[in-house]
Amino acid sequence: MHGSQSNGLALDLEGVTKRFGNFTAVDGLSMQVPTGSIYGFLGPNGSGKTTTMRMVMSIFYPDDGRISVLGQPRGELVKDRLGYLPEEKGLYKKMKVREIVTYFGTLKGMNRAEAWEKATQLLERYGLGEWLDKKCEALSKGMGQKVQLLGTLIHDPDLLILDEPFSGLDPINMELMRDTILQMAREGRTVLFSTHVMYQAEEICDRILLIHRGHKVLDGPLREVRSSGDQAIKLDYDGDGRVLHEISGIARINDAGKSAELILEPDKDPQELLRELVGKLVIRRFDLREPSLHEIYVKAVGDDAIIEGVH
Amino acid sequence: MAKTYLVARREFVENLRTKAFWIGILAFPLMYVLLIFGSVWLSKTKDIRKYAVIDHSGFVLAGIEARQVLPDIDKLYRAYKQAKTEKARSWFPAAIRTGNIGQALAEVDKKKPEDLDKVIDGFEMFGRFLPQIRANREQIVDMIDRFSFLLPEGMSKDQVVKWFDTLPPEFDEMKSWLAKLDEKDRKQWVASTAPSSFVRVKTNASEKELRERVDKGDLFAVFVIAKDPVGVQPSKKPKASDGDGGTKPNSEDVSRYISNNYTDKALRRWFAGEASAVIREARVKRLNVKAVDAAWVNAGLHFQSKGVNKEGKEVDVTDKAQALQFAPVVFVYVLWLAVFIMSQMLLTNTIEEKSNRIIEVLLSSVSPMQLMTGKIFGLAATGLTIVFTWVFFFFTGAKVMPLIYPAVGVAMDKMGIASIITDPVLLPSFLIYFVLGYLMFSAMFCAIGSVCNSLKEAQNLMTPVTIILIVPMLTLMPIVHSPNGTIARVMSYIPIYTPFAMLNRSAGPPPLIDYVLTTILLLVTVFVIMVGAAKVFRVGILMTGKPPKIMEILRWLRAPVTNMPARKDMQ
Repeated sequence: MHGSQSNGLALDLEGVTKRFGNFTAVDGLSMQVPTGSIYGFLGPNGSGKTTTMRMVMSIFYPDDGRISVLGQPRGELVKDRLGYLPEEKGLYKKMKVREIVTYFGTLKGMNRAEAWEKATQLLERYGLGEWLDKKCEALSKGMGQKVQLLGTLIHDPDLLILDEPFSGLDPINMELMRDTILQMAREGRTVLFSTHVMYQAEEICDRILLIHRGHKVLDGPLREVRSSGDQAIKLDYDGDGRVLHEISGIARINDAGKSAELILEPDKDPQELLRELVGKLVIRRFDLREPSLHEIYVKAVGDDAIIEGVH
Repeated sequence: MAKTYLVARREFVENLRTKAFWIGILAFPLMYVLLIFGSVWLSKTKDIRKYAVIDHSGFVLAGIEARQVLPDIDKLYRAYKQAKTEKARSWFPAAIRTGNIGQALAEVDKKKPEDLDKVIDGFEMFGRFLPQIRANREQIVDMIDRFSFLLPEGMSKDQVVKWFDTLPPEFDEMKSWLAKLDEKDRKQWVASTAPSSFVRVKTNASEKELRERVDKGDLFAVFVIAKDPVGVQPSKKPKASDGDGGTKPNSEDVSRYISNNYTDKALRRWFAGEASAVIREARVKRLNVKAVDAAWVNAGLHFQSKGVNKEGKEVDVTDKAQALQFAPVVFVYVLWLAVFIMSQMLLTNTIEEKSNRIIEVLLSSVSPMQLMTGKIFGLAATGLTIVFTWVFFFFTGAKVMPLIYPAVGVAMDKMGIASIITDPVLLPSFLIYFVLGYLMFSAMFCAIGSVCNSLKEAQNLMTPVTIILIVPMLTLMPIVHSPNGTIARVMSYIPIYTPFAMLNRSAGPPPLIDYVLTTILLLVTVFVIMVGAAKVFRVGILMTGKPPKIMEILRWLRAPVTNMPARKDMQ
């Protein structure tokens, strides 16, 4: 939107480190988020995503390294052009819906009348027209989440930072969140969001970064990351999944019970695998494709990730 | 600054919508009204308690009864004048009320003509003795003669005598006014009435029966008046050795008060006073002394209260000055209460904000310092609104109430409320110390609130702060009694106590150097505490898990703002 970033990066982190006492939450992290992209920030719980985002928002300061936000050396300088939706979010229960959205707008430098107008528009567009003058405590959880999102968007931020935006959303709101993110990107704004649920990132991200225990595991455009060379089969089936383990030439199996992802060893022929499966399982789908992000992640961080319960 | 304002504005607007705010606004005027009308109402609804009198003397009870139907011209005159002119009269010296001319004259500062008016008013009050005055003109003239050295300058003996000869025309008007009142209203203008709620039962029952009724709770008390309460003069009393010293006195020889209630002494005190007055009259009569001589003998030595002004001259101690010396107690108490309650509100509010997770959203738009100061100022605006409303009520109340209800005007006059309001030091210093004290304590409480996840946790951290805060309450009276003493000075120089101690001393008043130094110290402390609190707030507000140890908080304080330490559970 604003072309002020000379290098085309909405966000540029270099060697950022944050320690809490003896614990290093983020360790030498570098991250480049191009302007206008949808950037997925992936990693399990406790891997340093939130800490990184808080550093971008100048809620924390890094112990080491350099952060450049919208071309500025400090996030504070451009706070009004950033939108941040934390994972743990709340509303003032006693405030009216339109007032709280307006309040968030004014905190971002909008004047009251303008913010009031915009809040009314947004709330009506998102189906909360009847709730404008109701108190926040009267909202259902899903509506509350919408209001929080609108509070983050009201000032048309150039860089939107969403921490686990999909967690706890029902399918309808999840759809809405996805559409909102896409809409923002279409308008030339940059969206950075974190998630520990890989398939959510696969659906909409231009680029991703995988973080594990404060370290960057890999990053790049989603397509490049996924075309790492391995072959994978997406299998939907009925029957006893244990038979999959008896088949040779499969490097790894991510079995979910009714469907599984099979990572083949380089010389394994998928056709042969299909022949071997017939009769042992009822096959509903047999799909040859690139490995999932989940698989890429597991491969990159090894068994640690499994122990820590990555889905 | 703009963001601080936005946070403060929201805080303020939201506070206006709370019930607590309106309760706070109305609490003071309500108390004001309750205090004034409540006491009247309470005294009306009091249970009626009965007492009985056995009078072996045969004349004391009759004397007391007679005193109870004489109108109290003093009260009556005052009420009458107010009702007529709607202007509260000045507060008369106590001696005039009791009818002691000597003292009344002694109270008068000869150089002040307005005091002369007071004396004349006082003589008007003498209407209580009107029957005697009219009956015995010589006695009065004699009395005035005797005390002529005390007469105010410019007032001759003849003038006073002339005044007695031509009683103010109002007096007759007054009598007709009293006559028009109904029984119930008239009763309050009577010279001597039993304490409210006590009623005497007329009975011929024996003492034994009455004692039983006391035991059953039917009677509150029984008075037994001895056969000869006037007694024998000590000099004429037979020596104990040659009398019947060994025998128990007859029950008719001793006056007694029989009751099972040992705490409420109002009835006993009143009855004893009235009976003493009757007996005194009887003794004066028996000795064949002139009533004037008796009054003269009875009169005590009166010390006039005087102060010293800056030029070293003696000045009168007015009611205003007295009120001003005690006013700080009320002001310090209100200050303490206001600061404490508002800081507590801020604490609760901070914990709420933290526990409902809105804090991180806010921190993405404002800095912790902006958030904290915004909250503090927002609540300060709320508090000041309440305080100013109170002051407004106080002012208008002081102006309007006497017009509606004259007795209130008299009561307020007595308390010197007008002089408290117009005092150049008290109200302004109250407001200044309120703001500074509030900033200091609210910052502390904000910091405490930020590190706690629940009110329960906060209470543990609050305990030491509460103990520290109790101290100004303990030193309240010692400082009033000695406003420039050691305790007062030491307390003034401990910054967290400065607002309370200096306000407490304002009647002193403290030397200018104390004002200057303590204010500088206080301002510096407020600044340091605000910065320290902001540091703690910045870390604490995002923290979950158990509250930090004191040492951990101290570590946060030492770290520079750009490199805030934090805990593992904050990642």
